[in-house]
Amino acid sequence: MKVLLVEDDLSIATQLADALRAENFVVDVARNGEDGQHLGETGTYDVAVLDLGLPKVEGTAVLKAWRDAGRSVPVLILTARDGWSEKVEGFKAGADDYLTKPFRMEELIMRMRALVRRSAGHAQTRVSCGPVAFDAQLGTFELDGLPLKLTGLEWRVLSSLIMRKEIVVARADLLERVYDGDSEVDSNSLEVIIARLRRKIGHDLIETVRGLGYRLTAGAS
Amino acid sequence: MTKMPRSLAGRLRLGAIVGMVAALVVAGTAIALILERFIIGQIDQRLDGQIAALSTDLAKDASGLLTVGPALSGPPFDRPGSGWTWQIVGQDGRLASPSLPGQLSIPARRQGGRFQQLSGFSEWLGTVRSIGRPYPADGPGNDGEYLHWRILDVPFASGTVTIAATAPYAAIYAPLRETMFPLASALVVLGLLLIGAMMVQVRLGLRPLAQLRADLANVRAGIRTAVPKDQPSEIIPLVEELNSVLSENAEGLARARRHVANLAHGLKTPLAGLSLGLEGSSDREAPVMRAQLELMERLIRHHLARARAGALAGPPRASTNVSERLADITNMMATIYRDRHLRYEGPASSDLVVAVEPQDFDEIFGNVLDNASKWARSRVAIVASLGPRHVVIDVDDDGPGLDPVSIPEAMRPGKRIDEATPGYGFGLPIASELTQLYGGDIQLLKAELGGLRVRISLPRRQTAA
Repeated sequence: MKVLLVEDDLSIATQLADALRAENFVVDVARNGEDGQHLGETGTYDVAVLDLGLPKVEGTAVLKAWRDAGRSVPVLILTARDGWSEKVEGFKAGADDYLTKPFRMEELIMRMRALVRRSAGHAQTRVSCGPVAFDAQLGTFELDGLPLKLTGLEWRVLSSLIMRKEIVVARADLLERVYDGDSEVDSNSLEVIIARLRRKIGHDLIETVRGLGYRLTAGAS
Repeated sequence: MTKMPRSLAGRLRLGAIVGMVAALVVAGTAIALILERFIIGQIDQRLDGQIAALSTDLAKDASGLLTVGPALSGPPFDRPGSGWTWQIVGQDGRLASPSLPGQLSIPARRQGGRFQQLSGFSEWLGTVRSIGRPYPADGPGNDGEYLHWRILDVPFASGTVTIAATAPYAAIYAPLRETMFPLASALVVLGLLLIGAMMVQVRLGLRPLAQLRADLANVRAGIRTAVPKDQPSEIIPLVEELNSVLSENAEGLARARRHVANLAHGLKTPLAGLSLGLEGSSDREAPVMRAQLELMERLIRHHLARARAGALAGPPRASTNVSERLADITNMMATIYRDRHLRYEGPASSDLVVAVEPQDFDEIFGNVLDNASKWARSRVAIVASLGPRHVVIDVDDDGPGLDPVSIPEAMRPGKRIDEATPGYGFGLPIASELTQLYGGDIQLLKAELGGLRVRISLPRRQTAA
């Protein structure tokens, strides 16, 4: 799951990014409104965490710009402003959730996962595909009812696929969601990760659609 | 010291009426004096003519007595008691008109008439003119009636004779009265017309002040942000002063709120950093520190909300459309609590407007609806109705409701009825405090849906004046 974090306070941005990466999120950080707006308009994200008091461009303006550009990424506003008026304005601008500082990391992560799950169209927290089940709230996988151990990269690929189960996920899209914006992307490594996942959950579940990408499917075709 | 009326209109009216009445009295008196002089002049001409005729006709008869022709005893000098008389007095005897049967002594010179005495100049003029001409005098006649005299000393034969002619005062004052009555009536009518015109003028002249009051009332009620400038030139400086005071007030309010918001941001960002730092810590003290952090945060939240509310200076000039704003807030609640699938009902779209700043309205109803949404099972219903001075808004939920015993607790800051439900326990007290600042109030009642009914009454915005 790929997150755009727009936060100007360096220590909070760093702590948040570290905590999110530890939870297998892929994190891009923007330290001002202008960069945040640009990344949100051009990148592919599963969820965005947006501060309101930002240098250069105000948070609500960034959000409006994203919505005007047709970006429907779920947005969680994370701000020190706790007035209801600001919340109302935030939601009117297109926010999906609102959390005020200070906050608990676990609550933020829970809410972010809920946003990702809902935006993928899953009303239930548990998403399953064949023998594989994913708890979108806790971020845990099960295979045939038993906990499934995955590496960070495997988790990112499988969670991206299961949230879009039965849908072909483009290779580029998958790469975007698996690697940080600034990390070296080796496209061959995606094949390696897919191969490892197939070994763990069974070859038939991940289907390669030539020229397009991959699909997680329960029905053997 | 004389007491002036408190109202400008009263002062203008009083001043104009006093001035007008004085002017009319002066005008009436002047006209009366001029008329009197005119009539006296006419009578003098006639009496002087008689005296001239008498002096021309005067002769001595065979016995050496004074005599005049019979023609000079014609009307009006023939009727006794008419007041029209003449007499000639000399060393050689005395002659009198038939209208003067008895003796009537000739008064001394320079008596002057009642009104003539008022004017020294005219008297001086009279003296100058009366050299060789008859001079005026006044005195009572035989039957007590006052007479107007013209007297002339004429050299005759060996000495001088005094020729005097009189006219009754009635000959002067009867026509004067006859003329003055319609004239005075006309002056009174003129005065009434002028007073009427002045009343209209005062009303027209002071109308901009009434308009200004209405404009200012509209500003207070939040219908306008400033007093309009299309005013008479005399009022424009006042309007400009008023508008600058109003905008300074608004700026002060905005500045205070900005400071509070900055303070909130300034305090909470490092708190968030601390809190995140604690999360990774395996220190045994971490839970204690976390509890302290939470307490700090609660207190900051509470006092910042209070400071914001306290920044409300004076009577609110704001206005908020109830149904429009509540729609925004319930939309937000529906998003926040989307997993609970709550139904938000009402209020029916209406033009109810309260005299409350939108930010404070959001604060009040954000807290109340947040509370209702936390407790509701499936429905939150809002009904707004218009009272004589207030708009009453009921927010009902179908949750478990509140035990009447706990109601006072719910309004106490920092007290959470149920510690398990997320929230800071300051919501309802803040809503209540804000409502009271605006002169409204909050009651906790039992809802028909079964849960809690929060009844909020807020002052309605006065309609445009």
